[in-house]
Amino acid sequence: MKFRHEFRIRASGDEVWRFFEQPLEVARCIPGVEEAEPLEGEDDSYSVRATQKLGPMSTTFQAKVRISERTAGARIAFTATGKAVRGAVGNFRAQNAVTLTDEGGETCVAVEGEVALAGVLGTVGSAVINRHAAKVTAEFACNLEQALSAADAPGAPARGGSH
Amino acid sequence: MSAPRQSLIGGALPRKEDDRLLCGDGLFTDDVQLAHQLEMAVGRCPFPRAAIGAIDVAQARALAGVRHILTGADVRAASEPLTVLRPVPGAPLLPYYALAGAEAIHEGQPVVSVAATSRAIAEDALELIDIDYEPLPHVTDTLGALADDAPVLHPGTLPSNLLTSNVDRAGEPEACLAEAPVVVEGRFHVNRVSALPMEARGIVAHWRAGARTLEVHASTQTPHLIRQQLAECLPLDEGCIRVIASDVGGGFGMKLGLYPEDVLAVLHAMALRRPVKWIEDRLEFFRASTQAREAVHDVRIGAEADGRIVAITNQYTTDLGAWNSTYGSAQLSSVVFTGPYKVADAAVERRVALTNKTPIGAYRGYGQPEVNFALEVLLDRLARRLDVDPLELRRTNMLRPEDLPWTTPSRAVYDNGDYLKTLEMAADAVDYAAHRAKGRECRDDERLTGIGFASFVERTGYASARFLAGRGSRFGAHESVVLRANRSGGIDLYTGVSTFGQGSETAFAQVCAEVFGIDYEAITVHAGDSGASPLNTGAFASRTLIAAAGAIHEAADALRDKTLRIAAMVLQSTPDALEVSGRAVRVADEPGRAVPLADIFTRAIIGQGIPEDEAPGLEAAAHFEPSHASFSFGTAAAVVAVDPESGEFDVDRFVMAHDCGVVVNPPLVDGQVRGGLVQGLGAALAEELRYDESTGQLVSGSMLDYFAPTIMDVPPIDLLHTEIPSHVTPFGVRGVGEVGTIPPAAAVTNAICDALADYGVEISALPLTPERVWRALSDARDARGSGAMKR
Repeated sequence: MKFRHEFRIRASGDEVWRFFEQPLEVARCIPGVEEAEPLEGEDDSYSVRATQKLGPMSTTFQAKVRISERTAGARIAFTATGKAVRGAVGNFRAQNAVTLTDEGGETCVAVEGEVALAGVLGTVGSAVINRHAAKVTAEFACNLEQALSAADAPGAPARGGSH
Repeated sequence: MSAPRQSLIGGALPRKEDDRLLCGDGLFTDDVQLAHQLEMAVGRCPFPRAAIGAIDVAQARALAGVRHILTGADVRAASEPLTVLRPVPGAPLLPYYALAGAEAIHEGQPVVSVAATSRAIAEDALELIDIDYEPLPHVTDTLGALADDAPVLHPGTLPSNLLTSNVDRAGEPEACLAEAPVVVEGRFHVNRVSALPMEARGIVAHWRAGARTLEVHASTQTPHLIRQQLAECLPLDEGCIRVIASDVGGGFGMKLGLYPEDVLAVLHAMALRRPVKWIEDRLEFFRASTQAREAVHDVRIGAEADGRIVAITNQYTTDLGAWNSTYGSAQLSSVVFTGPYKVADAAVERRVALTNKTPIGAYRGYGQPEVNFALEVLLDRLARRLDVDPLELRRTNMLRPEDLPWTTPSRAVYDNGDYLKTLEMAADAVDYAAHRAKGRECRDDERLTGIGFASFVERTGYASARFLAGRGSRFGAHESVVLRANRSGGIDLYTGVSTFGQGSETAFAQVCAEVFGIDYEAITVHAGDSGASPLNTGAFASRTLIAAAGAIHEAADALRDKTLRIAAMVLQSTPDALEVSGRAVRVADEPGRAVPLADIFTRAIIGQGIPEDEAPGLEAAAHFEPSHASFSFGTAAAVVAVDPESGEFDVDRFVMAHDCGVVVNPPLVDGQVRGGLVQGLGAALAEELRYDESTGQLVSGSMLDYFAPTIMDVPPIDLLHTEIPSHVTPFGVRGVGEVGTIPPAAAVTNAICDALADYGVEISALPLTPERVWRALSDARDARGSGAMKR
């Protein structure tokens, strides 16, 4: 199932990209993400635990996220595979890409992806998934903007220090 | 047999079922609450096909409230595979256990089950069970499964995914097609749908080890057959098993046999010696209960230039899913593949394909809606090709009353009827002549109107047990009844037919009252309890009334004869001079000389004050086996308005002219036909269980994604009846329970193609959504644009 959502953010492309280079910070902006940490011994791979409410079902996923492509300032792509550890039983596999377009003072962030859900989660069709993805993206945009402005603010603590 | 004394047959009597249902006193499976009852939840494979490795239940077992966990190995140790009641002749059985073993082969196949003190705890426990799945290659497309490179589902049993194919034929259809001046052909895709009863499945299993008694409450159409299948799967004799189906919230063919969850609940109950309940939730239902219809029909019709059909061939593939469920995929497409038309040279081949999807089972219509869609839509295409009016084309080819009885090329014998009459009635009702005269102009709302017909003949009931044996069925064609007089002066009627909305309690009481002469209100029907009712077959195949009416007639005659013999002694008369009227027996010529039935029945029951040569007791059992199936028939007409730009359309009106022989209770018949039509329209226009081919995942398995019609979606429906008594059934009845599902898809498709005739639109797949119409419009436009104007 494919989806695409985009939003604009009041920050330059460079600023947004710098932030995107800190995956754990980005993870903090994604609604529902409870834990995110680098996987030892594997570059660009992370273990993520997140809870999402899909239609009538609430599910906690344990996923492995791997960054598969980076084009500085323009695009970052990642794959995620995981399974439900709590709530509705199911598995999932997703490929996502975020594309940044600097529009002079503003950046257009396009999130597109393809997700395959297996098990009872998969029986919920695209209408529900798409609505949910739109909601998650909107909240993500909001959080991202807040995080960026906080990072800009004088005296803000240094962010993403771990790597 | 004596002449009927009242005219209850044909009376609009109130349904016996309604009082309890309307007062909230129906007893459905989830209403059964037993002391110390546990609840079960089932863990299902999330992949269309996967090897199952280690299953770790340690954490789940430790969860407070969890009482018992079953895995595939446990099930193999304690039970046999589920049995098939309607095996495909000549094909392997593909037996399967209640839980998957080393491999699961459809998404939703049960893999583990948990019994716990509540459903919530059982579901929590499922989340704690770690199962090692290794996804394997799968195939979900019906025809794709038959391709050479498709992964084979049952490599140990079958070399390919073709379970079987069988041919019925007569004459020389291929030669006729080769010589026919006109041949039309088409491939028709019929969508996979769900029967979608309001009450999903459910079971409460209660094992009392000391009594060696297993009592099962289940939402089923066939309590006696469930009892048989449980005895076949479990180390229990039938004598230990009692199956009760009180009220059932809809069946439609989907609740005909044993399911894995039934066996699981019983195994938990037997291991724990506590009652175990399982109620299927709606998300489970979409993946675990049998699905229906999916088929691809390749049809060819050859005709003379004047429209006379010379031959029909149909090679179709039904999708069985991953396993052979109790009833398997639909078989009646072959029986009625030539419809109501006079065609002697014809052949039909049924192929059964296995796919990694939920098993297919019976559903109202059982192959007849599928083949009707293919045949009737192609017939309209033939009409357009020949430039003959579709109504005229049907008139030309329809069997006339004098042609009947007619043996079809698949050797079904149509009994008597007047098919043409229903065609004319439907055409008149929608004022077809005026529609034709009007020409194809858009209405003020920019829409084009169209009218489409679909005529059909429907097999109802089974001919005989011998007929069924020839097809491998492991059940009989008969129906049975026990009538027992009671001391209140009433009659208890025991039937194994369970009651799931079809009104059989009402119809049975009408027939019994009619024959015996007693008040309708004095009859109490006891349905669906294998412990109380005589062994029978069950309610399906539109056979109930055909078979049961005969049994009730015979038993009521016997009961009445004895009643009159006893009454003759009391009234100092002879049985011939007496009649039953209401609640009394009286001398026919002297109505004042009467004795209450309560008096006669009490004498008989206690054996006091009866003739010396009479045995005590007043009870009669009868088994009746029909000698023939009878064939209902009719024509539907749909009036649609289509937007030729967007494909958006409305069904403005739907007319159904049909015949089910003698009508026992008109509101019941109307309710059956209307309900069937709504299901038929839903399946035709919106419903689809859609699988994603790449992931093998069902993607429309919730009420958010599966579009069953609501009352707001149902067009105005007019029902017209003819009432031609069948010559081959008791009282001249024909079955009526399934008929509505048959013609909607073809009638609406033909109406849309009629409206869009100037656009060259052809439709060959269901569901018929506005999107499909829009795509057909753009395909037709592209074809014309690219100069393909040859046709």
